[in-house]
Amino acid sequence: MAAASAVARRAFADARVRTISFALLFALSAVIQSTAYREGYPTVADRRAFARSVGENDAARLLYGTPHDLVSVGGYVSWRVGGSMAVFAALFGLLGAVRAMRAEEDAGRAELLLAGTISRHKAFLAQLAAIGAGAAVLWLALVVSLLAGRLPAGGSAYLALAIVSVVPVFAGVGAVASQLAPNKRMATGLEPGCW
Amino acid sequence: MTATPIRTERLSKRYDETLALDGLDLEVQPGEVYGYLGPNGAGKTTTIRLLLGLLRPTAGRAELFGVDAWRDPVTAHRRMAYVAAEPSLWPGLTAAETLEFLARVRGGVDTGYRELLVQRFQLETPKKLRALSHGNRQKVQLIAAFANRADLLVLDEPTGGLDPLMEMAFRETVREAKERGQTVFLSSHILSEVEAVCDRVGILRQGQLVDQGKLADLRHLSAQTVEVTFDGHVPALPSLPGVEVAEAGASALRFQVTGSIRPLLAALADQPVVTLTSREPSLEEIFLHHYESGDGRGGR
Repeated sequence: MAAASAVARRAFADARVRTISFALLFALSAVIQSTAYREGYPTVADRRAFARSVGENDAARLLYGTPHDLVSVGGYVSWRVGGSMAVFAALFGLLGAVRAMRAEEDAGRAELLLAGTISRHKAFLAQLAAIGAGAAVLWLALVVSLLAGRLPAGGSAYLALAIVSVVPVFAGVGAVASQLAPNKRMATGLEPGCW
Repeated sequence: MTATPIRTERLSKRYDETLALDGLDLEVQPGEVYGYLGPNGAGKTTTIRLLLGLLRPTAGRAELFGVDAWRDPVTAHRRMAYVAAEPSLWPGLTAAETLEFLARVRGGVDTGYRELLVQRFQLETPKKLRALSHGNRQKVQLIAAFANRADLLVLDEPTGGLDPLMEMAFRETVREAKERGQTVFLSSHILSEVEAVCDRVGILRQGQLVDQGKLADLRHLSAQTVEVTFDGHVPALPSLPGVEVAEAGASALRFQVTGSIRPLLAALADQPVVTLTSREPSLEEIFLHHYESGDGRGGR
């Protein structure tokens, strides 16, 4: 167990630059969009007009998806950033999995770990746990920044969860791709095929 | 009961067309320092990867302390520490952090002894691995493995990149391990290293163990060298069975003697011999003997 936790912590620490950059990206866009919307459309009339313009704008709907509520700040933010952040969350899961399961193997470090007292499946689970911990950091960054954008707590937590839940799915895709491809570069290239 | 540290039975590994290891039967006894010799591509690393359970054998089995290496690697590794030929470590970690991490993954470390090894190998522990040379990264692996105090050390060409001074430190460390009763499996193509530290050697050639034994036993298989200098010109000597003139000078001869040296000594007894030296073949000569006597494929 000590070995598995050491491996998980090592993988988490290894991904810190990626985790921090994604967390910053998530936090910044959540804060910026909620603030910009609140300041750009201060009254209900402004927001109605904006919702109508989006309704007529096929390009905007194509890019960000069909809006469900463009009159509240929360509704706007979840429409405006929810979709694109889910894409980034997918990327986070993919990169994390390929990095953990393929790059380590290519570099010969996996061998060194497996020569220790950790089994193959525990090493695999430890790597997944590290990606899960990274996803938790992203969730926290999102919730905090949504709250900072003065959105309700329940909705913020739920939106953040919806976005971050994409991470494990694509970590799974990445894990499969990393085992199918003979090297890291091909594994990263295989994934978009799964989108 | 002490189980045999390493035992393989008809262990074979095939990669597509290539038979990398062909029915290896190997047994390494507790407390023994076993030298595993062979040129690149002979199957040394394949053997080690099979011993570690990183590869599934095509046929046969490998056991560490009686535990099947492929089926139950975690138990098999409990009493083993490993040094890879390539020091692939985490570039962002310092040497000290790497030692700490490897200690956790392997379970168990003698910190006092590790400190001593860090001093002996003059490792700069605050440096990040990416700033260390190949030899210095190799030191990190060696220190981590020896400080583990494992009953069995599996070392895959561990001294690549080490300078002669560090090579001496390595030999000293292996001898200490032996004194403590640890078993060492040392794969190498550096004959002097194996000759200096190993009790027994196995010579691997194209996936097959072509010879195995104590150094003293192996030496008998090859000719010994006798050098004689004479007072004045080289006298005429009768041709003797098993004695071959390797080199002839104006007043000196060098013989290769297979089998007993007595016929040669008898023939020389009446001659004006000034000096006579005889030496056992070095491991190098034994090694070359094996590689030259084969069909030459992939030999040298």
